[in-house]
Amino acid sequence: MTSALRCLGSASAFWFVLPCLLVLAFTSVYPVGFGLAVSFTNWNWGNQFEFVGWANYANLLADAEFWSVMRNTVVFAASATAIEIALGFYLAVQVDRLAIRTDLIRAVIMLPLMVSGIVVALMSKVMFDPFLGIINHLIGVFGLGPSAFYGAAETAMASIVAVDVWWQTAFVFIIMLAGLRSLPAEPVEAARVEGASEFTIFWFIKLPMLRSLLITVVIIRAIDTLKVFDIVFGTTGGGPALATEVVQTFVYRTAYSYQQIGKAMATMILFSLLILVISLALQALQRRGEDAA
Amino acid sequence: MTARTALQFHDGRGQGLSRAWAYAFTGAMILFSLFPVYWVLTVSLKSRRDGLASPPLWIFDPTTANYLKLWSHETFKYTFLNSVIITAIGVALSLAIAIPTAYAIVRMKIRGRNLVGVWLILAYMLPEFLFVIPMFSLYQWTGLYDTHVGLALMYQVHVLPLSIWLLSSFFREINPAIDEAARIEGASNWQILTRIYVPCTLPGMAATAVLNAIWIWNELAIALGLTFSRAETVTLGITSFRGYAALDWGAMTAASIIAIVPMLLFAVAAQKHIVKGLSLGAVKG
Amino acid sequence: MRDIRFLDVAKSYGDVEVISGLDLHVHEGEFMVLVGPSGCAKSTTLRMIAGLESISSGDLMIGGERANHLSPAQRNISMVFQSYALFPNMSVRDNLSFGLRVRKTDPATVKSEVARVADTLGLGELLDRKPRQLSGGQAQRVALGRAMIRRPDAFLFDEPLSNLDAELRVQMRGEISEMQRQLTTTTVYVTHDQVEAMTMGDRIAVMNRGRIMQVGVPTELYERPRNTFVAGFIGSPRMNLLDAEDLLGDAAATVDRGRGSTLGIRPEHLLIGLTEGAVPVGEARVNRIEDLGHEALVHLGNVRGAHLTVRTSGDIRGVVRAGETLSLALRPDRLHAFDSTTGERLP
Ligand SMILES: Nc1ncnc2c1ncn2[C@@H]1O[C@H](COP(=O)(O)OP(=O)(O)O)[C@@H](O)[C@H]1O
Ligand SMILES: [Mg+2]
Repeated sequence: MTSALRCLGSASAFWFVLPCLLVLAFTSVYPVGFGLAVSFTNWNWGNQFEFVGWANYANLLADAEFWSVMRNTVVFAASATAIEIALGFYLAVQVDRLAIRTDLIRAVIMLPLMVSGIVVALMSKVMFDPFLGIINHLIGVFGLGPSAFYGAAETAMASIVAVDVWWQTAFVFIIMLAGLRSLPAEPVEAARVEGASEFTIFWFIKLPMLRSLLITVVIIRAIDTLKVFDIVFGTTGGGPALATEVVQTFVYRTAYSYQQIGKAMATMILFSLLILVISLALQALQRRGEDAA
Repeated sequence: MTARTALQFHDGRGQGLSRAWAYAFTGAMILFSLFPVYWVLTVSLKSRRDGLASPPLWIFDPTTANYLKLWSHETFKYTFLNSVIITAIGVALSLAIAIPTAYAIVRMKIRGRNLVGVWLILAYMLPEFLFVIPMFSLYQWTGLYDTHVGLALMYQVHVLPLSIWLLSSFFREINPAIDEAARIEGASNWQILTRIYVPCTLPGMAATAVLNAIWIWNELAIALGLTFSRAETVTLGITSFRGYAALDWGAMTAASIIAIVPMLLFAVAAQKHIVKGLSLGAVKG
Repeated sequence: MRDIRFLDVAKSYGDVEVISGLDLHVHEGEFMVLVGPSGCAKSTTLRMIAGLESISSGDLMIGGERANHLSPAQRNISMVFQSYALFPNMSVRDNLSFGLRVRKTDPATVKSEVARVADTLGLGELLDRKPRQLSGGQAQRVALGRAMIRRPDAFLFDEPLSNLDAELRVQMRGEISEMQRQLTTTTVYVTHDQVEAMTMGDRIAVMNRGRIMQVGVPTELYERPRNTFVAGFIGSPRMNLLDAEDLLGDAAATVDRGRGSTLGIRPEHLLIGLTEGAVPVGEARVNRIEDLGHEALVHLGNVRGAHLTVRTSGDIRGVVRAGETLSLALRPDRLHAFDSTTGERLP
């Protein structure tokens, strides 16, 4: 293709994408590059700015607190993602079967998604209050509790998971409902004519067609929950002790309270790698399924 | 059709039962979604004494005292206004940048298209503080720190990828022959974009704008890292209620409700768009 | 009005060459039809003229000037698409005037030109409608109007009628031909429908697999197809194409160039029963009769196992039945002889 056509085309294409590239370079390439460099220093926001080699990384990997923060983050992300996927998908299947218009239902269920994480956090503090909160009162009716919720190391993490489930399950629901609605009708009707049960139809016809979409949703939720910040920051702040400290609150504290920027950035770099590995693994799972199909 | 009807007749009872369960479960989930918002709303309408009653009161004398108090709370009002400004700038910026980019990705030959794609995914999925902490010093040095524009600019790292994906999928729905027809009529790429693509995808533009606005309005981590006082957003304004007077539930809940309201109005007005935006990217993949 | 000329043009997508050695001259004011089966690169050829596809090698000359490097806008050519490609967000009026407005024509001229075209095509009532409020035929007319309004040097059509129902197609066929004859604008019209090709084209170029098989006026293609591909493609139902021996048996030796060749005989030129001056083809069994009312297609199998189609008047209804045996004949001057290996016409 020697013609001027293509050159012209790509020249104007260049101008079309240039603003995007500039903004992305400024907002992502610069910070990641500079951050990577900083992770090899002992910078404290101020004059202390010395190259320390791999010291930050070595210290982190030898630090029990770092590992406990990592474990908390993964435990939170895994449980929240699993529950949200199961609940949201199941709800989508149920709503898909309703014989009424579901726009309003969808709008109502979507409501929590519109609320910011910090507001969700404060709302939950009001409801989870050990003495005056409505939740302890309600579970008391069934002879349970009272629970300390955020106040005790045993229940704090579960409480935060519950809050994230309330907040984000609708995301899974909306996407899976759209997925169910976009399935072709013929295979399902053919199976029904063959006398297949609803369960068989779901398990052997609908689910395989939705597999890839489901994994996409898992990836999105997994990444989002790994990055959790607002609802921890707004409720326990990482406590009690370190029971709910997650990577992003840990890094915030390290950078802004302790001024250990090198350590904070080293943590972010390691954590970013973890996110990358997890999403690549999930994507591989998705691709393998597509090849098999 | 007849086969299907016969079948339904055949196991009508089982169908009926499981249908009933579907309604019951959906109802329970609606309650689950609504109850916390309802409860917080009632708390915000309680007097201080009612709010601290044990067991919690279901029936009480509603009062607007908490909201009135908030109205005179200068900082909160200020952060609310900041959020309006920052959201407007952030959304405008994201659309202005994403529209030509999405068009180029969908309808023009660009080298390194895949590279741009991977870059967008990375920018979208990497954690906020990876970007925010290194930016902190640059922002202070350039004077962008604690400004509306600075924050709106930093938000692009998240809303740009999302906008580009959404707009690309809307643009892809347009018959490419329309481009060709326009090109033969003598239109440039820019004219095709502004005179045909943008007017043809206004609902998609709205969906994108709404989703971006919701995200920006609700964002906390980046605002926490890059603002101090002048450009503090409403999410930070609310955070301040967390510490002071831990038992002043009235102010805290009223502030929460007020922060929810704009997004709630959005959700009601643009429900279809939001659903379209949320599901389009994923469903059409 | 300008002529269009391809000089040894080739087009590849990556490693795949879809057009090679294309030489074609569309004369000034001529209505040229490109016809061929789906996938034979008709559209690609047309789009190279429009400037929508780059040319891999060779030259495209428009009005005697090399046009390879010109953008679509610089070629002053109009195109009508199969999907019409009307701008969905614009009214019919704005669709028509888009090209003029983009070229910054003054508003008064735009207005009068829109009126002229709307008048010619009977679009007056529709000017304020949006494309989605138009029927297929109306949308087609708007697309025609949009092509006409700029008085381009050439019209390009890419299967413009294939989305219309049969009746409308016949009507629009006439309208497009009529319009072209009045404007005498050089036209290249792509279709896979040989009836459209035969009825509309001043000349026809038959394409197959990215190559031109034959260029000529319609009667020439019908009467002297240059190879078996054109012979089979032009004419409906298809020409019977068989080995000479399968068709004629021992009689093959009696016809000119009969021996060892592929012979073609159009269904309308096979005769039922013996006629004076005709060569007997032998007996054949009727497999099936397609009665179309005014005519009938009789499908037969002869003793040598070859299948033949005969086109006759509808009068055989009730006279001939499936399972019967008929004797067939043909006039030798209606026979086409082709080389059985290359498929080229024997002189
Ligand atoms: N963008 C493309 N990339 C690769 N191959 C293409 C492209 N466009 C067309 N082709 C191939 O070129 C050949 C000719 O296509 P086309 O010109 O559309 O045929 P026609 O219009 O005669 O049906 C086809 O085999 C088609 O698959
Ligand atoms: Mg074609």
